[in-house]
Amino acid sequence: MIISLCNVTKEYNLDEETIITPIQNVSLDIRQGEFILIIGRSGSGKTTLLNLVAGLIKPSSGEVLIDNHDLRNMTDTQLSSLRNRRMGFIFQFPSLLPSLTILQNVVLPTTFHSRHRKPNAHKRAADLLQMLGLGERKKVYPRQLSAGEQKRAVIARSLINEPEILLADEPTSDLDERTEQEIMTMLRETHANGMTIMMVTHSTDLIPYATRALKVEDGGLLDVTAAKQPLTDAVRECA
Amino acid sequence: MAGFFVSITLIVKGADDSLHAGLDRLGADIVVVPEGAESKVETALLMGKPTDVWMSTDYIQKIAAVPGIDSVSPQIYLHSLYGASCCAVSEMFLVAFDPATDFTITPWLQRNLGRELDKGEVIGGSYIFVPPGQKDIMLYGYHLVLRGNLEPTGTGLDQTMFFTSDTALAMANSSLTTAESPLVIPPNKISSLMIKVTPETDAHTVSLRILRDVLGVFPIESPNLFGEFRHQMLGLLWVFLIVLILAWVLLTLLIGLIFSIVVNERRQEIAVLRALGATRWFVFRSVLFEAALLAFAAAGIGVSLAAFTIYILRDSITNSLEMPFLFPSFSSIMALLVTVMALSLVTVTVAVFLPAFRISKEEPAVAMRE
Repeated sequence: MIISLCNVTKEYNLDEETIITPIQNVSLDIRQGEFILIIGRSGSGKTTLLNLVAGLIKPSSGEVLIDNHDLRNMTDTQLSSLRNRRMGFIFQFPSLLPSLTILQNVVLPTTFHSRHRKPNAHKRAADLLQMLGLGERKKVYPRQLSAGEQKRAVIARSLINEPEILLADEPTSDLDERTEQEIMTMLRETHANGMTIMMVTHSTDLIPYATRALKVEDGGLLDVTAAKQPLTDAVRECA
Repeated sequence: MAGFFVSITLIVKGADDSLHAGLDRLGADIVVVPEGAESKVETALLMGKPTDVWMSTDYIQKIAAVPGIDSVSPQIYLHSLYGASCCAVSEMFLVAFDPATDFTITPWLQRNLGRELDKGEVIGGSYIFVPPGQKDIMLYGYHLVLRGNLEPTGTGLDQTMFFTSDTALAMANSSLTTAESPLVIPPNKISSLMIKVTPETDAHTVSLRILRDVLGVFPIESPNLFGEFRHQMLGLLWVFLIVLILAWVLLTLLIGLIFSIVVNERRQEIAVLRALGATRWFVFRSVLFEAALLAFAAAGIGVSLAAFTIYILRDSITNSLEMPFLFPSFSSIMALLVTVMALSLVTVTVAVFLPAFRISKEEPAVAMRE
């Protein structure tokens, strides 16, 4: 097991009187090599769950553990290093930096932590872009690519540091059916190579790609691949 | 802002350098002038505006008798005819000195010419030249041979021609028959006395003695020479300083505001960087570094443009502001450049600190959601 959420609750104060709780008392274990699909309606808390796992937000209560390390106890440098080395990100919105070429965008994550820098970053980035069909377009800028090509470039960027976990937030939103198929095929191949994937989507059509599908509903999680069994019906005793 | 700062500093420094160079050129501890003619003489020396001031040659002995005085050298102030075809200026200030006692021009002559000036020979300020196509300079129909030019001082001395009193008398005699109007030098009259005090004596004490013992003249101590101008310049400097401080505060706030807007517009981009592994410190110093680069580029352009403009307009500055101006040396400009760059860096760091700190502390997920 590499990711573990234990009785995690996340609250947002919209104003002085209104508090919303998209994630309430959720416990979840994600084992190495799993392809977890998180589905649910818009605003149900899917992205919040993904951000909690990534350490991009702190839980209001409960623990998020990566290899038994509580993210709350990590310094900013440790957390940043963890995200950089062990996690890859695919965002819902266009996230390539417009002032950098595609190749520079893909290489970008290798520049943050010099201690862990791997050699030949540019060659690996070029190879990844070649593999994803963007070999000829590595020197162009993001605005010169289609939405599908940009998504593929983002996938290349997410893989540049050879992470163990890939966190994808609606990677196929706003894409046509064919491009969606291409992206999902790439993710399936990546998973087949041993990558743990946690992907958020509102599309139930993508469930077949996953090893497990979880639905976020009313702040809790339902395992839709196991006859909608609730995962958080009782407070779990965490380590 | 950097350009404005450099412009003001260059003008003030140029004026100050010019005053010092002018005072060094005179080389006198005290200049004695006829009572009431102080400002006329100062204007003549400062701006090269010719003046007619006279006092009796009897004062040479009277002043020399004052205790504490080492040397006394008389000078006669004259002016060229309007529209003389000799020089860069239409009406020129002429100074006749006594070669036997002079310590203003003679040391320069010894260093550069190796001898004294003969009758009919002149030394000019840096702006004096022989008109193209002519062999010498003609004043009052009298031929003068230009033997050299003094180093620029930025003051009226640059537009002044120096010659011996013998030359002045010869020119006056010649002018009776050769000039449109004669050069008149009243007999037994001089315009000023240059004074050097003995090493062990204080110039101020000697000035007080002259004031007390010799009536009809006024001693101007060298540090007080151009005092009115210095006073005006100091006032101007204070105004500039206050304007500069106000502008600096406003500019710092403005840069802070602009960077707040810029950083706010790039929140999502910065959140992506954080998600990809950039630390808060990385974000903080990246924003500061970007601001510093912009500040360096802007300050560099501003400083260069200002220095270039001041250099090109240096003569206009002297004429329009009626102030002496000597363009500062290359090393002074380099020192100014480094100072302005450092000041720009400090300004930008102060201005951008808050927006950079804020964005580095923001939770990436919150920025991404927006």
